Amino acid sequence: MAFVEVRDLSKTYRSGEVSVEALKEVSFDIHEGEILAILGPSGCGKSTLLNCLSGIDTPTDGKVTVKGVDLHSLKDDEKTRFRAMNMGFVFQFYNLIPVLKAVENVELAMLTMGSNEKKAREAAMEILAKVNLREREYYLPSRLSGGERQRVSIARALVHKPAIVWADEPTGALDTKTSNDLMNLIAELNETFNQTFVIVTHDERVSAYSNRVLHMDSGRILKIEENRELKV
Amino acid sequence: MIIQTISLFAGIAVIAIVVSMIRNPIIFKIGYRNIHRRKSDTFLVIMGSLIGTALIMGSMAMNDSFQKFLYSQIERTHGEIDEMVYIPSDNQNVGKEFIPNSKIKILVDSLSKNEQVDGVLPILSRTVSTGLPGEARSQTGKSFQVSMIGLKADQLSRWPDVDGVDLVLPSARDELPEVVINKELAEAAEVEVGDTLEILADPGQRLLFWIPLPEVRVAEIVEGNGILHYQIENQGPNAFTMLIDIEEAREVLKISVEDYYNALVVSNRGDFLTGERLTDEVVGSIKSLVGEELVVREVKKDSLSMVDQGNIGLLFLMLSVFAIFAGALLLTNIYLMLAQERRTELGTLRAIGYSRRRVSRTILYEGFFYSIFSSGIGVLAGLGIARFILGSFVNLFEDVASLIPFEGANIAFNSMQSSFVFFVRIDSIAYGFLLGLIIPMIIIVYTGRKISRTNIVTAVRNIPEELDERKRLLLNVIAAIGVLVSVVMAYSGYSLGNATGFFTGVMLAGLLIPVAIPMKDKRLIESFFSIAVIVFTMLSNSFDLIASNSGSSIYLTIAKGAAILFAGLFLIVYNLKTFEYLLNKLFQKARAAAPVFKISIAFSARNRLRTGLTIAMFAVVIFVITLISIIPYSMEQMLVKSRDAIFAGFDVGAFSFTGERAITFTELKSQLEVREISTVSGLNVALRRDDRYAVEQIYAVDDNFIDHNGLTELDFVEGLGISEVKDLWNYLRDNPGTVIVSNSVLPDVRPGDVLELRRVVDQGDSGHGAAAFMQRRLSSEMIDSGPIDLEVIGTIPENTISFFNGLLIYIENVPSELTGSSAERHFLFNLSGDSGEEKKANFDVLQDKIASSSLFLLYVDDIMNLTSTMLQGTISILRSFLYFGMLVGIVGIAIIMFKALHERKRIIGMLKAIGFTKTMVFSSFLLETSFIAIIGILLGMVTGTLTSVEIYASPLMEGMKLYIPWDQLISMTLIFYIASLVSTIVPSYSASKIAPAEALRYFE
Repeated sequence: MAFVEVRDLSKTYRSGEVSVEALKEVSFDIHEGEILAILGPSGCGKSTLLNCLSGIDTPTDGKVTVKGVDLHSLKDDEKTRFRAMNMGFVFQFYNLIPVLKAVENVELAMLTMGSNEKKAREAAMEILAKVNLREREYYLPSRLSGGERQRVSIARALVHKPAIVWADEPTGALDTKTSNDLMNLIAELNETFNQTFVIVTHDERVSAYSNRVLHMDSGRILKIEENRELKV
Repeated sequence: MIIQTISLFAGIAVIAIVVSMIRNPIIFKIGYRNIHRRKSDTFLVIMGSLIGTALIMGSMAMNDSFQKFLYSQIERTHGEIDEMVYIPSDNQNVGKEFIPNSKIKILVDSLSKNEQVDGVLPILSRTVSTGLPGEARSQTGKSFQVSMIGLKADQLSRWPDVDGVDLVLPSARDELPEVVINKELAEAAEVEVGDTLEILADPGQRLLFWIPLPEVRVAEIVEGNGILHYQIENQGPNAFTMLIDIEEAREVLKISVEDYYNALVVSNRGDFLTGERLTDEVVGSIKSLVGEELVVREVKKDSLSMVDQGNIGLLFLMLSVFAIFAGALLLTNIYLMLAQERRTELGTLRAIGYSRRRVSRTILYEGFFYSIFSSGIGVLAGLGIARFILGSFVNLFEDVASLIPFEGANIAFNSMQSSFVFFVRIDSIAYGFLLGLIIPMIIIVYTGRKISRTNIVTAVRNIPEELDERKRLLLNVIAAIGVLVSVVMAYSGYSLGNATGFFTGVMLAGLLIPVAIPMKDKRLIESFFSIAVIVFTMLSNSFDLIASNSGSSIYLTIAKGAAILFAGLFLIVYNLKTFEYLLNKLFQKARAAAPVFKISIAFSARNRLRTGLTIAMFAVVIFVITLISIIPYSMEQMLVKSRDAIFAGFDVGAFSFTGERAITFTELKSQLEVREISTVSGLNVALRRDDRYAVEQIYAVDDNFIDHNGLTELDFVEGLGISEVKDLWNYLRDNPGTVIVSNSVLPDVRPGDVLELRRVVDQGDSGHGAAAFMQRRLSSEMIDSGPIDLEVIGTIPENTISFFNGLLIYIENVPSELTGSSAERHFLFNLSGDSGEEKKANFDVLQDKIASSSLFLLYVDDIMNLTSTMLQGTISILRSFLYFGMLVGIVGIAIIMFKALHERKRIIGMLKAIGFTKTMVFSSFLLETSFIAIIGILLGMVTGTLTSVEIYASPLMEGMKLYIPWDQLISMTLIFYIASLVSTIVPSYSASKIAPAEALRYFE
């Protein structure tokens, strides 16, 4: 069985009389430990797909199975707990809590799982060191650069060692150099921890770091291609 | 005047803004459409803004109603009488000497031609006793004290009070003299036109029943004001007036002197209110005619100024100042958040070429719309509040009237109540509306200006703007200047002996020094100075200058309260991170709840300005409510504790205000309802204090008093071999030359002191009625006998509330040198019965039995009930007014959490994505509310309590005990806290329902 199985996934948004089919019967598998890039132009439904895969949005139809669990058959709170235990998230605009320091933002994911404060702090410090933020642990997000904030966000996604990390345009707000550094870091962490990464992007360069690239347009999968020339 | 000026300024500002809107249609459009963006926010902003207006309007409407009520009383009692000309007499039975007829003629002739005067009326006024034939001498409620006014009918017909009154003027006739009486007298005496009344002009003839009294016939019963309801000299609860022809009056009153009148009343041109404006000119004219020979009393002016001094609206306005201040804090918070919300779009406007001024106008226009709506609704709400409070006052009057044991007072209360109606002036509504606008407008202008100065790049990218070094330094410099000014103020205050100036200077310097110090992490310094200000305030009475003004200067009291409140607030705000650390430590074991605590506390603790303003908002309101609860509660408790002191531990005090009674001690003692009866005879003595004598009451007590009195809290001399208070009373009985003194009347007297007393020459009125209770200076000819020394063996504490405040001596030990002046004899006794109900029933039975004995009974529990009802009623009215101020906190926290909901929508989405359940999000919002509300409420309660303690520590309150109504404070706190939580349930629930995918996409 695949790590994540996606079958006939559809999502329709309704706004008054108008309905928009964001996803149209999408089916594919995600393998454990791979980096999968979902590539496509703006509005093609990639973020919607990511949201439905991660369980933060509910599909209109279809099924998503993660580690053998039918994600959308779970109740809301069960789904939330499943996410907390098994998933990590990286967002385009970092979504760090402005009043918490870098280390506190990171340890939050551990605390949410019910981990004790000391363990959470140790794990957060360790992962921040891994993302090269050793000197910035006690900085508030407002004092960090964009790249640093995104690294904090990645540290938060990885600190509790989730099986899968969902990243929605993680380089969308970063410059080229910082984007490259960040993707190198993701590839490195993927290799170190064997965690699965699913990255939504419209940036072709990001796909260079992925094992497979899923091309989308108008809510459909156009093709899934293996990347034979990994950048890392 | 201040109100008018501010309102004028607000009016001009409104016009200027409207003109500016017309000239800037695009900005106007942005500002106007912003109102519709989030209707719930708009609703709450208007709610938050209207409370200030409502409280201002409520205070003004109450003032209008009270003023109208008091003016109506003045119109009733004074009518058109503006001035009264007379010659004061030393003889208290007469009051006024006769004015020579020649002077009267000069005054009438001259003032009749004076254009500023529209009425001159010479009168002969006397207070007489009247009743149906055979009843004028009665002491049993069948006779009435009446103002008899002798005058000439033709002069009365020209007097303005008589205009429009259908009056048959009394004239001199051969038969029975005719009088015009007012309706009140007719109803009380139950007489009609044609009935006869008997007149007792000389109280000395009360007992000389064989001397026939003159009679008069009622010719007319009138209803009217002023001279028809004459109450200028008779300040009793009822104004009974009798008008009679001057010649008849002389006959009835047996006046044989050549001169006719003892007063001249003058009416200035204009109605009863506007005529007062001419008082100075008219008084000048009168004085130019008669010099200093006659006294001119400005009766109307004096009464009106008393009304203006007793400005009830000002009292409510002062109470609401704190709530208005809290409302201003809320508005600052609201508009800072609003500006923050609009920051990106305002930055964009700046980027595309809008000037700072135009950008600030978008906030100004938006705020203007909110303010206009809120001021309008606030005026209506204020009128509602005033109506409610006035309704409460009327209910209180009813309750009090039902408890008052004096029949006359009951009637007076009822009549007061009927003329006490809700009234508001149109100009007050306009002022209320404009004043309600001014506070939000100032805040809007400030926030608009602040947001317009934001950095364009950080605004467009929505990056938080840090306080840069330049601004930080500027703040340090401004604070340093503030410190210097405060030091100068403190020094000047000290040099000039101005305690408030000295205290305020020291306090401001203490609060500003930490702000002036150019350091980043200065939590210790900030905390030190905040604590120092609190300690300084609490110990400020150690400074003689402050101690001598404590309690007597309202400004100093306010400054002290503000010092404790603000120092406490700063201490909390400076240490929010400490709170956060401690709470995180406390809750870190809470596993699943730990991240919820962490986030909710972090959001409040690391947002110092917003949290500080919100805490201040809560604290200010609770601070005032705490003060309003503690101080009257302490007074009430003192009263309760004094129950056994009021009548020295006896249930009933029996008095005769006329000095005569138709029941003897033995007869009273024989009643079944009476137990342990004691007599206390009070007589006036002259007590030497330094080099002068003053009248004091000495109470001679009998054996029953010694054996049964309940005065147990006494200080006494050591070395008398006395171990308990009971022995002290026996010592008083066994040792002539000893006395026990109440510190309420002689606070400086201590056990062991020796007092020098002399007899007071009987002045005829001493020992009669309430006048004997009043202390007055004595001239040497009023003092008789040689000095008598009495040793003070014990003192009754100053805070003891008792009818017998004076010197207590055993009756057999009263030195013969002091006897001779007429003594009043009171009875004190216990009632039969075991329970309160039985005693009360027996009291009622006894009162009915002795109704005609002219003995006035007071039951201690009735007094307690009455006082307690008045005190509790007034306080609950004041408190209910302040509860409206509580809305500031409740609405405020709701607004803040709604704003937080929108601000943090993406963060909530992220939290839900990484594993926060609905319950965790909901709880984090409620916890944040709790954190702020609990700190604010506790701060208000603690600082309010400390301020009460400080007030009670002032020398003026020496002997007064502080009682804290913990149950009231705790229940109030819980209600306020729960209401705050309830108000944030909607935003908390909305936050928990946010779909993460939607929230993460959220950009407004």
